[in-house]
Amino acid sequence: MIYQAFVIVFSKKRYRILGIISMLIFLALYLFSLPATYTGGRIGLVSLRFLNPVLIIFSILFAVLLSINVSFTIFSYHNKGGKTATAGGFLASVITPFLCCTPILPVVFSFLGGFIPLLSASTGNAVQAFIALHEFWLFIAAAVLLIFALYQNSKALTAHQSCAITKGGQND
Amino acid sequence: MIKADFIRDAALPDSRLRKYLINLSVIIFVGAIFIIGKISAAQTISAPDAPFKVGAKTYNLSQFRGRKIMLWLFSTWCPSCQVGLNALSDKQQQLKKSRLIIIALENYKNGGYQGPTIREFVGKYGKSVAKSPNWFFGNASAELARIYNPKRYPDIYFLIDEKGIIRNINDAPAATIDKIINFAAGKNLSK
Repeated sequence: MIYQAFVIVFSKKRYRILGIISMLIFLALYLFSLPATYTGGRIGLVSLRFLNPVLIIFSILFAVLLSINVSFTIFSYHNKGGKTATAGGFLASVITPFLCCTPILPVVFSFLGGFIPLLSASTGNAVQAFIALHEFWLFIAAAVLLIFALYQNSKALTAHQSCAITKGGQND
Repeated sequence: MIKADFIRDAALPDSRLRKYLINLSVIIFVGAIFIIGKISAAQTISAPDAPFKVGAKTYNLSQFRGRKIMLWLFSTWCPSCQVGLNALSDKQQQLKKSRLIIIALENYKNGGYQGPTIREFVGKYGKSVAKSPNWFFGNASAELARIYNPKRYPDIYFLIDEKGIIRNINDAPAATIDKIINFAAGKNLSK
């Protein structure tokens, strides 16, 4: 199904170009943002010093999946088809590296602690530590979400295309 | 024609005055920004004294007055702390030469989450500096944690000069290693 959708979308030159350009943009985004866990949330040239094979592989994987998803979504939009579930995977993959060792969570939790007395600062650290120790699996989960989004997009897209063939007698 | 010349001549001093006023306000504005910058840069915070433990021995920060100190509070589970110790170990020769004392303390209760022990942490990421005389590996007391890390950041450090003045507060030593080296060498921290 995914392959079928892939062929439908990328047989058109403009979607091939869109896919390649968005892939490059997302790749740059991930290469700079995934090392944030080592840089205390800093993003910039300093991030590149902390790239390791695992982060590079995840950056490529996320960028490829996301760019295909974006192309499918835009194709579906133009052809009045399908929904997308890409946001979850995208957010999970981008936000995860920022949740550990950056001041984001301590600040959020201390802010929440002001409203919810049960929520102590150590709750925030427990979450940070959990993320730090399970970052790899969170990345896997983000990839799974992106693959699921891809499956959903492909399903909607191929269903719409077959409807178009049945109704119109020709494919767009 | 005569009237027009008169108007032009009369207008000249006004436009000059306006130019002078504009130039003057630009100079005053730039000067004010420069002075404010200098004042804020010169603002000093004295490092409060607090106890910490190295093994069974209790130290006070004030015992290190007269030496440049990097007071680093880390959690052993934190990735930026792990690469931070690695980066600092790599620069040990430079740090030792500039006589920087590094007080590396595990956050109080390891930041609220059990991770590797400090021995495992140092053994894995900073073996080469474990027994260096300019390094002190220990545990932050509750008092020190309350003073220096009330928000419980997993990774935070303070650069304290010979007079006990905090010159910089930062995190992720691996990403900010140049600041630490510059501080140790007595160079400008903004570089």
